[in-house]
Amino acid sequence: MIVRPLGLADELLTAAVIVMAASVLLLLFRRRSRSAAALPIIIAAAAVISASGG
Amino acid sequence: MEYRVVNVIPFPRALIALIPWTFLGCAAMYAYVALGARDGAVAGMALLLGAFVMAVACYAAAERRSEAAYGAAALVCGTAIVTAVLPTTGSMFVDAVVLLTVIVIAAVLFVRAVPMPALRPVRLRNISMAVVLLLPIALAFAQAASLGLRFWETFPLGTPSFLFVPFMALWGFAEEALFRGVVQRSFSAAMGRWSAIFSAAALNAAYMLFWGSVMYAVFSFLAALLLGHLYARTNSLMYVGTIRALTDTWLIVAFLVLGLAF
Repeated sequence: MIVRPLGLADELLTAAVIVMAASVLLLLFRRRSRSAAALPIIIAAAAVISASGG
Repeated sequence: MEYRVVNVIPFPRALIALIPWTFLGCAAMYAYVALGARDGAVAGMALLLGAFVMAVACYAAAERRSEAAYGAAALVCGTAIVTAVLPTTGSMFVDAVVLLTVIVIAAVLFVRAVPMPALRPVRLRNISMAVVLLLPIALAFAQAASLGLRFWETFPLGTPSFLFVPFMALWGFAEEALFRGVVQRSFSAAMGRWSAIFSAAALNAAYMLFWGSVMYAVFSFLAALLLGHLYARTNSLMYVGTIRALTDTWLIVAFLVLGLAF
């Protein structure tokens, strides 16, 4: 079934593009990040920011 | 890229949080679509973006057997985010084509980039053909009844909507490809069979909340459980995809028979 696009581009597109681009960068540096301790910090920060926004 | 699943690992803990997180994000979007709550869109976007980042980070750190599951969770979050922020062209039909194209490209890239668990080929029985022909009729009537008039709010009754029926079939197949062929298959390497079916169905229903109908989300969940079970038995995306495509084709007939068209 076809889901309607919501067209929230004007308000939220910038934030979405920045976050998704940062995530893609994280993937590009995956080998380094696998051994780095930064991932739990990233997950915790995303959880806190996301929960406060939600 | 495929690999054989030797022994299934327990349900990854992070997914226990990620699936409800994604569901909450979609529920907030429902508040925006159905109730017009502007804050719902902002809250939904915050939750979905958070779930997306967490899923990507888990994917980056995960061991081989569970990385596809985290990747699939990120794919669903990404699909929901794109659905929310995709700029509209002014035509619902063009928007739907663009959205489907983005989703299909994302799913194909995912399957090519992420190692997926191998599927054991299953020989279909003769009764399977009867299921393909008859089950979509029953599903279409249930789908029409649950969606009600909301479908016609988006796609007004008339020639353009009827000409759109083949595209709806394509969309139905793509939905199965995403939620059964990618999500359930990825989850099946990281948890038990029914856990994978249930989790994929929950994400499927969450995404359908973008329609702004709880009834339709409930239908999507139950249909996803059924189709997920068939997918787990047959290991054939072609099989469940055809059922879903025929269901969406029968949908217009069901609307007219039930008197749900304007």
